[in-house]
Amino acid sequence: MNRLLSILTIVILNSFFATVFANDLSTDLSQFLPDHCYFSGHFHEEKQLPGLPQKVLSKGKFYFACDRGLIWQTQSPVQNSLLYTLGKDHYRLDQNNTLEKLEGRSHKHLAKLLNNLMSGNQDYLHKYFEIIQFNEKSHSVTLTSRKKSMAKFIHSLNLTKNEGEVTIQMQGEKSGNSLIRIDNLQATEEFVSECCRFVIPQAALCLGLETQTP
Amino acid sequence: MKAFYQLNIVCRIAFAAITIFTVAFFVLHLSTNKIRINTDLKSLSPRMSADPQLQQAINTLSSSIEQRFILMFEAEDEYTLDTLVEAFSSALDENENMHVINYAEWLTDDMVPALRAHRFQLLDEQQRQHILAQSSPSLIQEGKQKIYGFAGGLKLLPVDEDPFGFFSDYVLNALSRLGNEDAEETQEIEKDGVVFYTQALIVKLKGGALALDQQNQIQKSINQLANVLREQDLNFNVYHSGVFFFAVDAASKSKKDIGLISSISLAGTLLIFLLAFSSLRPMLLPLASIAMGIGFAFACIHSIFGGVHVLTIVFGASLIGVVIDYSLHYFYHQKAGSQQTHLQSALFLSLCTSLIGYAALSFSALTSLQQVALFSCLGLAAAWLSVIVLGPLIRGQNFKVNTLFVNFLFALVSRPLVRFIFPLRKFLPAFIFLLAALFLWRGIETGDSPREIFRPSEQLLKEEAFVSSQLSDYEPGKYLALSDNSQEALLNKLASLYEKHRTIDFDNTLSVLHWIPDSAAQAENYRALEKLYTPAYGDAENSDPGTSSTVRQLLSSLNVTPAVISKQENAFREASGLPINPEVLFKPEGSPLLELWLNFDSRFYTFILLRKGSDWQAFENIAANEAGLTFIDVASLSTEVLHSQRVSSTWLLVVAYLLVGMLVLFRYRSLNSLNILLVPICATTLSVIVLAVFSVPISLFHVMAMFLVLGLGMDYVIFVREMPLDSHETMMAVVLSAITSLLAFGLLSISALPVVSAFGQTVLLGNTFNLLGAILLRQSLTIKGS
Repeated sequence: MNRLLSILTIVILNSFFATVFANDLSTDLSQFLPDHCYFSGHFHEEKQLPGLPQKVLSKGKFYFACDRGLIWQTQSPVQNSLLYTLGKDHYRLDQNNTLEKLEGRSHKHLAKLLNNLMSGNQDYLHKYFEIIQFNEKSHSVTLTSRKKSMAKFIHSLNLTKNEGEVTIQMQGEKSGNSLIRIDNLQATEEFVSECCRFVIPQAALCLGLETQTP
Repeated sequence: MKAFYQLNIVCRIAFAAITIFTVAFFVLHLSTNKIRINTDLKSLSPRMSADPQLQQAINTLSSSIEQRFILMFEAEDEYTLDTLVEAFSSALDENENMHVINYAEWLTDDMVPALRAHRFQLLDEQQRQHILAQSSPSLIQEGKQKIYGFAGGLKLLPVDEDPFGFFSDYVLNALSRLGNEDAEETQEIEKDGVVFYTQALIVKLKGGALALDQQNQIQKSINQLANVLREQDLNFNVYHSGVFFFAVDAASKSKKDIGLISSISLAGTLLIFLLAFSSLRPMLLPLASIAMGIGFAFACIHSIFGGVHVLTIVFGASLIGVVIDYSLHYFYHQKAGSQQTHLQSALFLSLCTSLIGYAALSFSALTSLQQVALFSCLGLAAAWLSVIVLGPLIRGQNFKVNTLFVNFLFALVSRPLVRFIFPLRKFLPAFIFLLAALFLWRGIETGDSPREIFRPSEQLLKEEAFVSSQLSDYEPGKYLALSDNSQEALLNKLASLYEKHRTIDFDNTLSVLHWIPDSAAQAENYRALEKLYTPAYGDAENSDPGTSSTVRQLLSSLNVTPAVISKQENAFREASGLPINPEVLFKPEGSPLLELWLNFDSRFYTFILLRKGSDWQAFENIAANEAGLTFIDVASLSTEVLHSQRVSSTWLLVVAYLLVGMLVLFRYRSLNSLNILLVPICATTLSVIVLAVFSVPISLFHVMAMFLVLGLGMDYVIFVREMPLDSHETMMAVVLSAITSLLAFGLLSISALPVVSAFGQTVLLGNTFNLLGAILLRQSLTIKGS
C-alpha cells in the first residue's frame, strides 16, 4: 500500500512538472521536465475513494527547491503540510502547527522519488519509466513504469495541457481515479525564502528546510 | 540334515521374495522418477521436548523457519539493484516449488479480508487512548485530514468501512513489526569508503523439505541467473541466508562423499579381488550380495519413510566393506570343501553379532541414525541371504586363489605382531585397560555440540552474518513456547506474561499479540469504538437527531448515504464479542508469518520470537519460574540431548557386549569362550586412547561407531573360533575382509561431514585393532591346538 501511494504520487507529480515546464512536446524528455530549480504553484485535486459516493475535492499550494526539498500544503477543506526534505527526515505540519516527524517507508520512498523527479533527473526517469508520447495536438503524454512491481498499481496516466492549466488524469486498479489541476506556476532563479513562506508562513519551518543537506 | 534342508528352502523363498520386491520397487520408481533423497537437517537434530505435542509444535515452527531463505543483493547503484531484484523475483516466482514473499500483496489479498470482520476489535494501545481522549469534533477533523490530505487518501478498506483509518494504521503498524520488514527496502551501506545499496528477497519454499534434485535445481537456477546478469555487465554480489542453503551445502558434501566412497571402495575391492583371485569372476557373488543388500535396504527404507536420507546412503555405502565378508569366507571355506555346517553356523553367528551392533544404533534419538540402523540391518540380512542362496550355485567353479598376495599381506602384519606382541598377550589387555584408566583419570575430551553433526562452510556463515546485520530480525534458534487448553486462555496467558514480565519487551519480541489482542483488550477496543459508532457519544446539542454518532457525522459530511452509514453501525453492533481465531494469520500459502499459533488435539501452542542479541539468560530465568512457559534454545538443547545420548549410548554399548557375551556363552557353553570378546573390547579401548592422544573430542557418533567395531570384531573372532581346522583359510579371509572394511570405513573418515568422519575414524581404528586381535587369537588357538 505504501508503495502504491509512492508510485501514484510520483507519477502524478512527474507528469505534472513535465507538462507544466514543457514548451514543446517532443520525444526529448527534458522538455517535459522542470528547468527551474525553484518554483511554486496551486493545485486542485479530485479523487474518487472507494467507499465514497462522490469525489473528494481538495486544493492547496506547493513549493519546490531542488537543493532543499518539497512542501505540499493542502489548504481546503483541511489544512496540513508535508515537508519532504532531501535528507532522511520528513515532517507533517497539522492545522495546530504541530510538527510531526513522518515514520514509515512510504514517506521515505515518496520523498526520494519526488525530489528526483522534480529536480528533473532525466536519468532517473529513463531508467524507471517508459514515456509514450501521443496526440501531439492535444499536448498530452503518457507515462508507464518499467518496473513490474510499480506497474501493478498504475493502470494508466493521461496528461492534458490547456491554456494556463495542466490536467492530470490517472486510473489505478486499486486506488480509483484521480484528477489534479495545476495553475499559478511561478518560477525563480534562486532560493527566495519569501516563496517558502508563501506556502508556510512559519519562517522557522522554511529555515528548517533550508538546513537540510541537498 | 532335514532341518538344514528346510532352512535352505525357507532361505530360497525369502530370497525370491526380497528379489521380487526390490526389482519391482526399482522398476516402478525409476520409471516414474519417484526416488526421493531427503537432505533436511532436522532429522539430524535431536528432540527438543519430552512433550510430544510441544515437540510437534516446535517441529512445525522449525519447518516454517526452514522453508524460508533470503537472497540479499548488493550493488553500487540503485538501478542495478532494482533490476536484480526484479529479475530474481520473476525467475523465482516461476519456480513451482517456491514463491517470493510480497508483503503488500499478502496484506491486501489475505490479511485484510481475514481481519475485516474483526476491525472493531483491533486497536493498539495508543489508538485506544487517543480515541478516548479526543473530543468528537476533533476526531472528525482528524478523519477528514486523512481523507483530504496529501498522501492520506489511501486505505486498506473503503472509507465507509474504516472512516478514521484506524484499522489501516493498525494493520500497517503490525506489519512493520514482522521482522525482515526492511527486506523490501533499499539500504545504503558503506564499505571502505564506497557506498553500496542492498535489498533482499524473502523466498518461501512450498511444502516440506525439498528433495535433493529440487534443491539442486533451485540452487542451479539462482547461480545461472546470477551468471546471466553478470554477463550483462551488472556488477553485484548475492548473499545467501537460511537453513535451505545449509541443507544444500550438506547435501552437496554428502553427494560428493557418496560418489567418492562408493567408487573408491568398489574400485579398491575389485583390485583386491583381482590380486587375491587373479580373476574378476569371484566378484559375481559379492557384487550380487552387495546389490541385493543395499538395493533391498534402500527399497524398504524408501517404502517405510517415503524417502531415504542422504546420510543413510553415505553409511549404506560403507556396508560394502561388511557385506563382502560373507562372500570371502564362503569362497575360502568352499575351497577347503569341509566344515560346511561350521561355515553356515559361523556365517549366521557373524550376521547376528553384526545385527546386534547395527541394531544398537536404533536406540539413538536421532531419526536419521535410526534409519541408518534399519537400513544396515536389512542390508546385512539380505546380503547374507544372497550368499547363502547364491553361494551353492557357484560351488562347482574352481577359483584359483593367489596365495602369494594374501600370504604376503598376512605375513606383513602377523610376523612382527607374533614376534613382539604375542609373548606379551597375557598382559596386553591389562596394559590396555590400565592405559585407558590413566586417560580417563586425566579426562577425555568430549564433543556434544551440534557442530559435531554438521559443520557449515565459512563462506555461508559469513553471508548469513552479513544478511543478519542488514535486516532487523528475530533469532530463529531461541524463542519462548507457551501452551494452554483453549484459544482464549492462551491469548490471555500471553498477554498476562507481557504484563507481568517487563523483560519480555513487547517491541523487541514478536507474538500473535502483535496482530490479535487478548480477549480483554478486544473488549476494551470495542468499547472505545462505541464512542464513534454510538449516538449517545455524539455531540447531540449541535447535531440533527439521527446523525449524532461521530461516524455518522463524518460520513455524512462526505455525502455517504444514511443507509450505508446505518449498515456500518449495524456491522459494529453485530461484531460485539466476535472471537478472532489467530489461525487466520498463518493459513494462507503466501503468509510471510512464521507459524506462531498451533493447535494439536485441542491443545494450543504459541511462540514468542525474540530479537537477535537479546538477554537470553533473562528469558531462561523467566521460563524456569513460569508454569507452561518453555525457553527453547535449540543449540543448547541439542548439546544437552547429544550429551545424554552419548552417555546412554555408552551404557548401551556395555549392554550390547553383554548380549553378545550371552550369545557366545549360548553357542560355546564355556566361560573361557568369553575370551574372544577381549578382541573387540581391547580394539574399542585402544581406539578411544588413540583418539584421545590426537585430542579428537569423543562424540555420540564415535560411540555409535563402537557398536560396529564390536560387530566386525566378533565377525573375525567367530570365524577364527568356528573354523579351527581351516585356520589358515580363515585368516586369509579375515585379512581380505578387514582390508575391504578398512578401505570403506577409512574413506568415511575423510568425509566433509563431521558425523560421518567421526564414524569412519572410529571404525578405521577399531577394525585395525580387531584384525590384530584376531591374528593374536588365532596364534593363541593354534598353539593350544598343537
